[in-house]
Amino acid sequence: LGFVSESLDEKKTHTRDASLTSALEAYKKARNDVCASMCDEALKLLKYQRTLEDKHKEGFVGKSVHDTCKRLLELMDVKEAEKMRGNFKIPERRFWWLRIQTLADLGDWVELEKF
Amino acid sequence: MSHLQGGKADISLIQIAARNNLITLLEKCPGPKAIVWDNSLAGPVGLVAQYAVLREHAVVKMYPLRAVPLPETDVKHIIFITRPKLHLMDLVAQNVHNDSKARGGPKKQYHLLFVPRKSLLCIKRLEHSGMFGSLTAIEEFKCDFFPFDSDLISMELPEVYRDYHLENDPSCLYQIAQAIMLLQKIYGPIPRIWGRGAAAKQVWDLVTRLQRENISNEIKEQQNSCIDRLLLIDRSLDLISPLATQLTYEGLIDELFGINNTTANFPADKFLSNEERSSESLAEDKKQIILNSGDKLFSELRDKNFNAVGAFLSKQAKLITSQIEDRHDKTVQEMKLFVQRLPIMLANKEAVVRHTAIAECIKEVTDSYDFLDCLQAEQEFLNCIEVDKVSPFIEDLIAQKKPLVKVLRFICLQCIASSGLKPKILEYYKREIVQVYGTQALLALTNLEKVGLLKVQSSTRQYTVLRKALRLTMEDTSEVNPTDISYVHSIYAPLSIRLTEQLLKSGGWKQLQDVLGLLPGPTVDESPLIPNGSSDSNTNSPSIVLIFFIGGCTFAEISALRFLSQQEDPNVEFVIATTKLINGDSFLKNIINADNDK
Repeated sequence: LGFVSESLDEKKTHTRDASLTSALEAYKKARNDVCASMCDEALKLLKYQRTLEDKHKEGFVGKSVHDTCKRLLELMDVKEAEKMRGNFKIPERRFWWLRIQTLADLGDWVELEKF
Repeated sequence: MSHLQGGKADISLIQIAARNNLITLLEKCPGPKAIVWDNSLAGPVGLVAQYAVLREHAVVKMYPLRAVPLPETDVKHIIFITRPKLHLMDLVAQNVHNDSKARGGPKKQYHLLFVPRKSLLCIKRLEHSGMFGSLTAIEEFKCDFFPFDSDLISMELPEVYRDYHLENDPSCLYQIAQAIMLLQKIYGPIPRIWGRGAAAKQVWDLVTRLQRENISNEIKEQQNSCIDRLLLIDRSLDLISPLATQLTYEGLIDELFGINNTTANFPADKFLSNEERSSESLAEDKKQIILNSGDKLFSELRDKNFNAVGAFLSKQAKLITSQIEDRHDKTVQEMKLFVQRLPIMLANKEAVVRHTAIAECIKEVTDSYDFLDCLQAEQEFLNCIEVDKVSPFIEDLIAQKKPLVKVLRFICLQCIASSGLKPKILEYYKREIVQVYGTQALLALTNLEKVGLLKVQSSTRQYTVLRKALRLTMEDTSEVNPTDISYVHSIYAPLSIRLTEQLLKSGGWKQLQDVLGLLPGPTVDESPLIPNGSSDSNTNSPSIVLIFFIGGCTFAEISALRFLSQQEDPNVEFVIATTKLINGDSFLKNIINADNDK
């Protein structure tokens, strides 16, 4: 069933949703809950990224959850990033790694001090 | 004498056979010719026939096989040398098509050489493309093995493990069987065969079939066999060893810089003296160094644990300095001798300088906290410490988005050490990886599950038992003066080699019943009848054991084998054959993302 998900990696942006959905269905049939839920999440991410693109006027589609969140932090959109953390269940540990890393990259020492 | 000779089984015979084959094929096309190489072959074939040899036979130009038209040349023949792969056939057809159309000048002839064998599918593909007729000849360049060293040959087939275990495609095994036939043709029939694993069994079945077919049409020469035993090892027996970091000199060079066809590239600035650094521009930022036993110093260093390399190098350096300094107060006679020896001493000095520079490159990495942390985490896994939990170390790696291969290497290692991960942990890792590396990573994970590198915990604890029974981890081994093969990974003895050691000591699989139950696949144990019973030659000389790794082996494993053959107890000499030299990164990369080239 892996080949169903392969279709989503082809650079066909238009069929992305459709192939993800069919992958989701296939995983469900195979009772592969883990993969099914991941496809589900990927769909959710895709939708979310489209709204982000409207907001920030730059490309988000194709990035992973982690990279999306990182980009948001780099854009200093901490509120949206926090929202993502909740929506996509990003573990505490990883979120703070990300937060510290981006702050350090931005050279925002004042904000970094607050930890 | 070349670096290939020296063992009891002379590897240069393979080189000569292959080279002669190539030359005969080249001579079939008189006049100047150009060769178009399949990229994966240009390097390895260089080990068989250097460019100078090709030039002698009127090869004037060489190009890589690509999707762009060939440059203009006025040669009479164009020879394509490729692996029998379908996508390469399309490139060949495209090239021939463009080239024959482009110019109206003197007609060229196109030839195609398959390495090592023709494939019907490929020929069909060419026929479909309509270019089959334009090819003057299709031949086979029968080069199964590329000779690497006096005890090492490789087929240079990186996809074997993937093909067999992921795609369920056993055609590579047929090629291996053919290769073994070739070895028996050169070195005589092998009287005793051991093997373990599904792939090993299948290869041997194929060999027996080929032998039966062979006997009917050519009577076997009454040849004395040069190789006493053959041991076939399926890589799936031991997936731990490729994942563990190699800590021998050669192994580390491979892990950090990559060794291809016995050559490695290093950052160039380490190899220039101060004057050179200022004068020479940064035209070349890579320094290429050939690493084989032709370099005497390297042959002494390669199998040492890296911690022993520094001391050895400084000792050599001192020795040479004292030799060169020691030229005062001498008679004319002694002076003459000294001058005679001077070139050798200077060459030695150069070698010491070279390897000191390499060692510095390595040390820069191995002294870093990153490397040491990784090593510590790895060794904890191997010692079964906290393998049943989510490892915070792996979590951090993921959070920092370290290269995916590195992360997967650790997860696979943990998975093996705990004999399968608990479903919850596996799911957690999967989710983390997909969130960080994107959905493509899901495919990588699926592939790893298919080949059994990632799995859910079952009731038997294979690793725990094997670790005890085969003493896979040793607490107090000296890295400088090793007494056990575990020195190659500092604490861990490669399972494959430990198995070999035990097998040779006990003289058969029967004595190893208790551990065998834990290893996958069937056993091969046969002694085919040899026409003249000359197999029991004098027992004093070491017996030659050919070890064939189906699916690749690491430099550390080779070092461990060389270490074993220096020991007195199993009085053996090893010849190592592999489908490819691998390390953890290259091994995993092959499994997770070879989809690109389809």
